[in-house]
Amino acid sequence: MKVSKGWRIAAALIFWLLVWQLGAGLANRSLLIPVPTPADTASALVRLAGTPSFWAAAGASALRIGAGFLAALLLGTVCAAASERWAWFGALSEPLIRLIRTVPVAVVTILVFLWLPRQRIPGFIVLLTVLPIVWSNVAQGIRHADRSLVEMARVFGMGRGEILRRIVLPGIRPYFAAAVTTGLGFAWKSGAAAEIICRTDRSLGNLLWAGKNAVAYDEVFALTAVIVAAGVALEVTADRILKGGRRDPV
Amino acid sequence: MIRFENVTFSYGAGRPVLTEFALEIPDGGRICIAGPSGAGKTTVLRLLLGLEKPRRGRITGTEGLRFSAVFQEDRLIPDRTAVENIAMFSNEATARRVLAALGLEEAGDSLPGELSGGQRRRVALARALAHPCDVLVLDEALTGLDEAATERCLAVIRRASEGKTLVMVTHDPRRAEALGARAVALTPLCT
Repeated sequence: MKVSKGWRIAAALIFWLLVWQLGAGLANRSLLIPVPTPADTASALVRLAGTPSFWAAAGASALRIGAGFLAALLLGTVCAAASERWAWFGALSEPLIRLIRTVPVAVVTILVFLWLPRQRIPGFIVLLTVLPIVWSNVAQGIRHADRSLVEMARVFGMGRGEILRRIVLPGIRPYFAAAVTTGLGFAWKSGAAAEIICRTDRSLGNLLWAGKNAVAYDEVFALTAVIVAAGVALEVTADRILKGGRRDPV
Repeated sequence: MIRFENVTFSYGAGRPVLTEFALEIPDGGRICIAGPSGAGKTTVLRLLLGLEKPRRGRITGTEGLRFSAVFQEDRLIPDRTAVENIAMFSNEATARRVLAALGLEEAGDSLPGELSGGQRRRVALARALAHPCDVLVLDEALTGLDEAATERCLAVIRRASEGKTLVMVTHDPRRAEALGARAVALTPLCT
């Protein structure tokens, strides 16, 4: 019997919720501070959802992270095109990209804390985290663009703009799509981490920090669930939009 | 009239593929570039199509001409159906009509990867025939086709290329004869 993907995901989710419930049950026999169960987390989530400050924080976090992500998409794409077009630009930027890729988010956050206002740091951290992903993926896409198809289109009289739109960009699209879906996950993770480290006002990260200080671990779990769910939802949505109903080549 | 005037060409710093090559192709003429492997047949076609520039000499008479070509490779866009590949340079009705003429009406909505090598070759041919052009360039266009498919394609090419200049490369002189093409022999250059 063939089980659909939706059912498989639901079954896996239920399995891990049960593991969580059992684990919390066992841990709570000995721990002083109880580990929230799925039910505690759900009830905290409902409670949070009824407060305007939660929505304000969620909206502001989404805006900050979204802005950083979009900036990374734009800058990463432009830089990838430039590094593939001009070898000197690629050679100059490669060490910088390696550096950005290897320095941990926490370290960068502390560094930029000296120069940027708190509200700007999460967006900047998202930009730095996603930039190398977009840059390397798009550059790879350009490198792998089928030049024989470009030649063919030229012979058939297609103009430069149309070649870019109908031949080159669709070829880069899978690489760009991979960058977007991977980058979205990293954006949420790094954005939330930066919000926690620099205690950004009106942010999910700051609510998490406040929850931890108040020993309200059900809220901490609920907020974590919100961040994970938002990341997954964005990834799935982006994947669907970018595929746009196209058939995969055989 | 297209003229190759004393054209010398080499890929990069490599040895010349063509030296002082001269050729005249009258408007509406049909020629077949013949010769062994490595003689520079495909290079002549690439120069004609403007994909390479002569190191010395010049090619005249190509300005303003519309070209259509079947390359040595199929060069089909992998995530576009056969009809989409063809219609990109013509329109859907023409694409389906030419595919039907080549015996591929059922393959129109398939992706290149879903087709056999011979079918892909015919889709590439259909794309070239459907595209409005003055010069039709065929580089081993019928490779990999069985006898029946070859005969059918030759008949379609003959009809579709009427009044157009035809420049082809083939290892089979019967195919050139069937299209009424005059043979131009190339010999490989030795260092």
